[in-house]
Amino acid sequence: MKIMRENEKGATSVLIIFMMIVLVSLGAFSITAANVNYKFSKEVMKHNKVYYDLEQKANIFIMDVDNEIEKSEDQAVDYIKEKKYEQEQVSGIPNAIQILIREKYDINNKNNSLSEILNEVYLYYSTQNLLELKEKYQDSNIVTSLEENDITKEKITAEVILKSEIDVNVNLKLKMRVMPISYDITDDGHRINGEKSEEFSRYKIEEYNEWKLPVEYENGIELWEGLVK
Amino acid sequence: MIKKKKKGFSLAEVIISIATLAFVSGFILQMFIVSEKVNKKALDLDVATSMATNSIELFMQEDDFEDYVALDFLQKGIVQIQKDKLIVTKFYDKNWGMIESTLEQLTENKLPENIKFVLNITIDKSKENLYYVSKTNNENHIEPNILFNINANILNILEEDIVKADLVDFTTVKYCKAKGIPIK
Repeated sequence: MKIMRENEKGATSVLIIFMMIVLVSLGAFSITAANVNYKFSKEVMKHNKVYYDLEQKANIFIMDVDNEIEKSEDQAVDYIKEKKYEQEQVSGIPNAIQILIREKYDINNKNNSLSEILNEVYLYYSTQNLLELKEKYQDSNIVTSLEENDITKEKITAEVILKSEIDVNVNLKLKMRVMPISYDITDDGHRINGEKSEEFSRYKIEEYNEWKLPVEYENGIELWEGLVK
Repeated sequence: MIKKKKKGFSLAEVIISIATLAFVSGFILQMFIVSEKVNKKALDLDVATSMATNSIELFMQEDDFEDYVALDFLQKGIVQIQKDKLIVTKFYDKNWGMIESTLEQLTENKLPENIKFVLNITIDKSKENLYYVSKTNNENHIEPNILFNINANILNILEEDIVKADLVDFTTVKYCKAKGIPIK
């Protein structure tokens, strides 16, 4: 202690050096924080870009599915109008299904049985038409499940995994279910009339799930402009 | 007699210290200025992202192409309606304050000088490959499926070289079923 008191030269230099170290540290911290802030902003922008890219693809898929099932609805309506349920064989429909449909037709309860037949044919055509989408969507999965061998309890889902071109690690899983259609059908013996009984949706979106694959880091982590190993 | 040692700093020490501090603090201040600029850049990017996404979502809510024109959002902006396109342009200053302008100013290239950001929204239904005509009920009534292409981008007018650069650019499509719109 005595030695230090005897010589106090350079004390201000020590103070100044200390002050400069503090200021440089604060400056470096401030720049790093600002840089991280900017990086996060860019990440947010990129995430939004990926979101809209996937939404775009999802919208096109929904439209394709809707077009196919709308076509199926038309085919089913034509089937009823042309009284194809009375025929033994109908082109485009397997005999086994045609037999099932014919069995459903009840002369004593024409209107209700025709509504049921309409849905059965509609679901059958939907399955067939949706399979055509497989060519366009490689990762799609058209699933039909029969419950108790009853075609009216058939569950048809179209499932697809969409990949973003902006970030290959981000995927969107979209699952749509074909819903039954609701028509009031009347057969007066000469002509069959059918009207949509209520507003209905032909499909229901069961899953719309975006997720990101875990990123595998390389040996180095990019930090600011340098590379830390 | 022991001479009492004087405490404190000499004048020379103080002058040298202040000079050193003044010299070095110039560089240190630069660090803070750079960090402030980077923070402003981040803020601009955040605001631009938010404005672009908001405008896309706003236009996604409307069902009919014609309804877009009635949106309050378009007030103070320049709205150009072409055959199958709606183009909205809005101008902002460096603090994201809205700058009113007219179509005449835009065409004559006499826009205010303090414009820093330009928001462009284009709603396009003209792309023929996006039309999926589903069916024709009768001769007069067509029910097409339409995808609207909505693009919102914000340009950053760089002060240094007066070059327009994209700050953000989002594109999405909106699927809607339009009724009664005649298709070629």
